[in-house]
Amino acid sequence: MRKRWYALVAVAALAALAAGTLSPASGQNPIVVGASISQTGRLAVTATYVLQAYQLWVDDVNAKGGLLGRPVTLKVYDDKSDPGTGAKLYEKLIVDDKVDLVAGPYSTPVSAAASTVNEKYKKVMVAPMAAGDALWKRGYRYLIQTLTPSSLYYIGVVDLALERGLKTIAFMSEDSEALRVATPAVADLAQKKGLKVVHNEYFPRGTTDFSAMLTRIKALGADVLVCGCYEPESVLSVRQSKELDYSPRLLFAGHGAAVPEFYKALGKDAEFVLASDHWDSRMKTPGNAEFVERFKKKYGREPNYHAAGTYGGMQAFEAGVRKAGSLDQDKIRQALGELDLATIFGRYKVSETGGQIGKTSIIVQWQGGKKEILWPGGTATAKAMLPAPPWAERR
Amino acid sequence: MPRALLVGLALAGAGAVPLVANNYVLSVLISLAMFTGLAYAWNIISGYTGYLSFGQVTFFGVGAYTAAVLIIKLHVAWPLAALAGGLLAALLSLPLGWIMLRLRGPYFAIGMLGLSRIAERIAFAWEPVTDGGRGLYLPPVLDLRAVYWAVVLVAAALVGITSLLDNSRFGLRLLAIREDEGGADNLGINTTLAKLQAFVLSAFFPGVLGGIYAWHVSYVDPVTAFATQIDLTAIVAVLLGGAGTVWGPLIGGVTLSVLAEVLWARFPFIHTALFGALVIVTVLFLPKGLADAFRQRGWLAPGRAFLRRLAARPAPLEAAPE
Amino acid sequence: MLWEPVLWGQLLIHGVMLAGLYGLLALGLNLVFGVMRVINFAHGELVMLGAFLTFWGYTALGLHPLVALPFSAAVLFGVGWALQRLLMERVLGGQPMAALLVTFGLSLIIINVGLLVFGADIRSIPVVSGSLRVAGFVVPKARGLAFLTAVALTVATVAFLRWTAFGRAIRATAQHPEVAITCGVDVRRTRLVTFGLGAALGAAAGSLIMLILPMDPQSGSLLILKAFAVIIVGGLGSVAGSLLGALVLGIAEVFGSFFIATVFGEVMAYVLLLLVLLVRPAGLLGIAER
Repeated sequence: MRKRWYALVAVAALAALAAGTLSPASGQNPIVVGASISQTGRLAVTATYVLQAYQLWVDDVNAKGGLLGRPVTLKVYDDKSDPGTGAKLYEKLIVDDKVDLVAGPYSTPVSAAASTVNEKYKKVMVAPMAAGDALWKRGYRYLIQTLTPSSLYYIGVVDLALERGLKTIAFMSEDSEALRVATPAVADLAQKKGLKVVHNEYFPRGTTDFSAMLTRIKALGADVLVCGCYEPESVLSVRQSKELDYSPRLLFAGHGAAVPEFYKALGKDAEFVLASDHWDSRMKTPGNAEFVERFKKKYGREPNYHAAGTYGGMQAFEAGVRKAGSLDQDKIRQALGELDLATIFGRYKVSETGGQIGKTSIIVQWQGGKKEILWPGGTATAKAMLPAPPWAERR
Repeated sequence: MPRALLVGLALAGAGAVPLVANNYVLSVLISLAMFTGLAYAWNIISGYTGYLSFGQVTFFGVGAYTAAVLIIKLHVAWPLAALAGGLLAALLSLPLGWIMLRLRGPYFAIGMLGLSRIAERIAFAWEPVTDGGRGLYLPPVLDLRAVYWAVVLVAAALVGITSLLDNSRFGLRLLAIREDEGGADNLGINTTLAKLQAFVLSAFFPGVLGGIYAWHVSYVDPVTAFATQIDLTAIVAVLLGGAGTVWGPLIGGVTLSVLAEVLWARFPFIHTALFGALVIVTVLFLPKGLADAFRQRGWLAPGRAFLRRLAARPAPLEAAPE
Repeated sequence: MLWEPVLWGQLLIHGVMLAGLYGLLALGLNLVFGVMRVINFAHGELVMLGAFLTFWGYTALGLHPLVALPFSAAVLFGVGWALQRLLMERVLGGQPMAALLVTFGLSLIIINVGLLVFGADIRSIPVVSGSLRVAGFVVPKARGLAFLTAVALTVATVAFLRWTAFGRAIRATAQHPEVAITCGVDVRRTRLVTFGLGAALGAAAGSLIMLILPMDPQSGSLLILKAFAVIIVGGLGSVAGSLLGALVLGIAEVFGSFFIATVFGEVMAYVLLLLVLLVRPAGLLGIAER
């Protein structure tokens, strides 16, 4: 028994020696990128896009000869869509696994919890799916945002409304962190540019009836209705506007109106509805078309903005590491602060706090069953069909 | 007394963990102790008293928000803030318990569920204090050891209180209410008072744990602070371990954590379904929980040791005064 | 604006329409409670399954949801029967909370499997939209349809329980299972049929909700929270009570949303629930808990 124990130790020691001496010599000691992804729980389905984009980015970097001359590998855990678990896993990634670079999880709450851990260990985290602007008002240094900041979600609507001479605007928004920032930002801009804000109200997630709120907004006769919504409420707000025979000249239903399920759920009633989107496969950003091709080839499905945003965020991370020329976290942080970059996702530029200031949403409109880009002008694929005809005049 | 020695050793052992463990292990242990503590708190009102509550998370959330607000706005030290969270939760539980405990069976269960949803909505709507859906951000926690000690202390206190309860007249009163409330009332037990006492205990500790949780994850928002999932985990831990027993919640909590780390991780996409299946299997095949199974095998001493010794005495000299 | 009678009338219509939705959700839940004294936590998931079956009928077979409704109700009747046979029978009459917990576990399983099979995307059927104009008021078509169905199904269920032999067997089982047995009622079969009927009513609700709200596999569990409030307000176990509770709740919610804030309208359900529990724990038309 005792002999076997010695033998085991000897083998282990030998193995450790081999691992320690052989790997660097062959130049194969990889750079490990660690992240936690919600593989279970309420966020799991969307989070698969994030994971796939991470993997595609790793493939692409390795195909180009790696990062700083070393190959890149990915280490991923499941945070179960739970912020507490996420924080736990980032501890593990940094302390136990000693990963070289830290990439963000999916969703803002998990990013918030994880960023506290990263700040403690002074690890830069590029968090491609963290939205809430408040995350960058806590005095943290090592958290980098690449997603559209909430304050720039809906600003395109104001220009589109003014172009058509519309006068009054009403807001109804989900009570969430991101939309509590997005809505006042666009309301302020509207007011400044001469639109009159007639209503501004927040509703809790999961609201099943907007009839009271829409009755009020209809009575106020708002020309523009901005619904700060995600999928279920986007559908519901449009459907109930029709039921109440309220026909805003411009009906904007938020990010939730940009998904194909929105059109499927409403059919022809989705026509003329405007939506905001982080990204579109037709955007003329450098490398975008190639990214879409490769993603489709590898995974057999169209990438969405979660995939593109993650990929774009990692492009920025990669550029930062190359610019820094080392894995020194403070050098990378400085490089990321100085970069002004065009990724497939759009412009990357951060403020001193690490919050994104370069990226805006695009505004799209459903026209003949297809989404057309209206704003910003540079990437527009069609002219705005505004004002929208009243419900009674549609067939 | 060897028993006291054993308890002392266990506490010292648990207290010494941070000296050797890294932060990841600490994080795992913190959530284990957190959920075990919540399970113990739930066990008092639901396991002993038989009032199945789907809404104790109300008090967890109240504690979390109280602590967060005190820390952010008044810069109160976090252990005090967590304690204040527990106190406010207990204070709130007095009128709420007085109302809710008039309900029985499914009415109480659904009423408590409704209560927790109201609490969540209030957290959304009471913007000046809670910042609505935006949530509250706390300063980052740099040292997990203190958090660990705090959670373990609360969990240990709950084990101690449950052990005392199990061996006390108060505990027997609660069990009597669980078995036959009308009968207990006829025996002269002040059932309203006993239920309320149990309810307050089951509110105070989740409040403290909520406060510690807020500090630990340094972010509180209505959805996560009042998540039904938190109650769910505590309930399943108690059922699995054995409701109305001293060691049940601990056994259940540890088993669940091990299952979570080992089993769930391998079947990520059916994690919730496995959880549901565990509930059904436990109810159908282990209605008294693992603690009972262990006891039958002689791995665990039967509960109410003191009362059993008392009952086994030859004859009482005179009736003990109440 | 606040004192216009037209506006009040319109809000009342919206409240009644919302009540249709809640009444549908609550009906099957309350029937099962009335007979077996079990709150079926998985009822929302049965509603969801019915909704997705109807959606499948619409997309794959081109069936109008009203045509698909009886089919998905029939399938769910079978599902309910099977659940009663395989699971619920084992826990009825035992520990009072065991049945509640089993349905709770069941709801977790169905949601998870639903997410795996259907995905997390929202679904809805856009065949009935817009509204009718009646005397200057707008009456939403889909919600109106749901309200009429809720009334019709409630009346049908009450009539079934009151005037058919089987309905009497169900009522006997509900009031006193032991006595029912001695009177020759097949209590076991009665319970199987009741659980099946509860699930079928859930499927009917789900099919109509597909026209009104976007659904995903997790929607059932959110919607059912309101149904709990409805049956407690209306009275646990009273079929007519669920419609009454739905009306109270729907109207209160719309008026609360309009005159105070939408967030208050949403809380309304639970505030009413607590108020009713305080003043009249058995609900407006409920049966007293023994």
